[in-house]
Amino acid sequence: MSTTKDYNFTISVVEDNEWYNKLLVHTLSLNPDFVVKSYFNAADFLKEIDTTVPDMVTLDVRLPDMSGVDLLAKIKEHNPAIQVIIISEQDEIQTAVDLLKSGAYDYIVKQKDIKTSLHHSINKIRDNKHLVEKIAVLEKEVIKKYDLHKTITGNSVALQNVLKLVEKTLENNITVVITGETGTGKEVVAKAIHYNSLRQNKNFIAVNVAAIPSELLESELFGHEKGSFTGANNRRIGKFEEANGGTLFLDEIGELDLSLQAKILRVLQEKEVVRVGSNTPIKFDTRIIVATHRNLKEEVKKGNFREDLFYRLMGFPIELPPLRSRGQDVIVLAKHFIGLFSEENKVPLKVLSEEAKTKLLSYHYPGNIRELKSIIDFAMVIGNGQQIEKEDISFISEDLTPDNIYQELTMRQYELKILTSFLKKYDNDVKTVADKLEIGQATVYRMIKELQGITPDNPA
Amino acid sequence: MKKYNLDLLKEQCGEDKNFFNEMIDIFIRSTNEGIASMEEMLAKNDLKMLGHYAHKIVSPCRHIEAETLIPLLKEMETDAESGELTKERAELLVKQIKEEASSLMEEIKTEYTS
Repeated sequence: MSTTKDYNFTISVVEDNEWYNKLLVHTLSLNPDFVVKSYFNAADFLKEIDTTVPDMVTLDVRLPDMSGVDLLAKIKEHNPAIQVIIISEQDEIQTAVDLLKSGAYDYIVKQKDIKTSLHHSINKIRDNKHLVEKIAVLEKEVIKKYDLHKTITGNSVALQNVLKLVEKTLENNITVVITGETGTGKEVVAKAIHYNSLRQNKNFIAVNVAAIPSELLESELFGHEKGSFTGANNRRIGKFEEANGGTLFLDEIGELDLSLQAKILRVLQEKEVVRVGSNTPIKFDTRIIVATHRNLKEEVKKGNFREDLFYRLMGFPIELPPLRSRGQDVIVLAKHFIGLFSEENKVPLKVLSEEAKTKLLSYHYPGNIRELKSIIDFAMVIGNGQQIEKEDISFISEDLTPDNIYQELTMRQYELKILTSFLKKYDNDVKTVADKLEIGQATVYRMIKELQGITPDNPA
Repeated sequence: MKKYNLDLLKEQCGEDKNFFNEMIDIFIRSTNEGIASMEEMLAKNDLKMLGHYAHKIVSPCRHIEAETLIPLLKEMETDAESGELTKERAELLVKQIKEEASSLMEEIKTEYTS
């Protein structure tokens, strides 16, 4: 049963037999969602096709002025979105196959159960139409979501420079290399480039090279034929093909195995892939964006990355600044994440207190934007009021952060904080902590006692 | 035994008696027109067009399960299309179709007006 009842659906009945035409129109008109128009020949129907704009046409295969096959071709040429159901007196398999190949949605024979067959087919068309419309809306939403100035948030000079570089990549297909520390938003920038480029209506495919075992990566990227290796039960297209017409984002490219680097180089040079287990090259037109947190030039020097692939990829480099160098962007982004959390979780919007802002600005964010988002999500949940206070801000790696420097502790208190952090890091293994800090184990024990408030003046 | 079955048509018309009556009227009129056209084509010796008119009549007949008339119309249509229809056979078929259709329509009229 169809689930789509929320819009009118226009059906044109093109049938020269007066009796059958009436019957079809009557049957279809019983559904209040259907607007049904009747035509007895092809010419009258074609005259009105632009004003009626039918969602669907039931077409008699034999019309007085044109064959159903020819009219079907004309309809599809005019508007491929119009679905056509062929209604035929005879169950002619070859005719049915030819019509379905030419784009007819279904072929129904004039039999007693025609009503059921027709409704079943129409319901499927309506559901498909609804899905197509939904997809179109979602595609627009995605494009809107990745609007350049909404996606890349911040006012700092460092970020504005990034934006200028991104804009340079939008109207061409140059390969982009995005570098930056972890959490700086490399994939977000890659998506922003795709969804603001000429390829925005095609696929954006992201592959994290480091997340896929090297033995599976080749088939993941290039695809494979059925039976090409144990477990290859079906043919599968690879990510290069999947992204055809669109963009392929290869994250953590610096982690790529040397043998696969050679294969990728060949694929990029030839602009064609060969599926695993096949000998047939398949052409593709895919834009490549790569990202890495490594210095690829250094990796080339070390022999970990092929020099020829490095130069093939070095189209347009964009380096993303770490969050700690972006000044007030921290607050801009924090507010952005507050809004996002509020929207996604249907909770009231909160504001940042001045003290919370100061605290946020004092931190160095080793996890960059990703870490800031986690901090804000936590603050949104832990805080009680409408305002996020400094107590609601909790840094993930705070023990050794410059944040503590602002707390104006004594040197001894700093030492104890450092010790606490090391004990936590090495599971209270006193020997390792002592080795790491290059102090004696006895000193470590003494400091632990001090932390526990046990001093010679205050024994346990 | 009845030459037709109007149950399906009745079911499709539901409570709409006017529509049912209209469908019966169209059936009788269009069948008569179709047979008249067949006779005309026969006189003109246009055997191909005989098939066309048989095709036009057969769909409603199938819908009302006019089982005695359908095979005659189908033979006319198929043979005309394939070129196997001879003048002699066509004359015989038109005559039989006319007789079957008349008797069928009489039965319908009787039931429909009673």
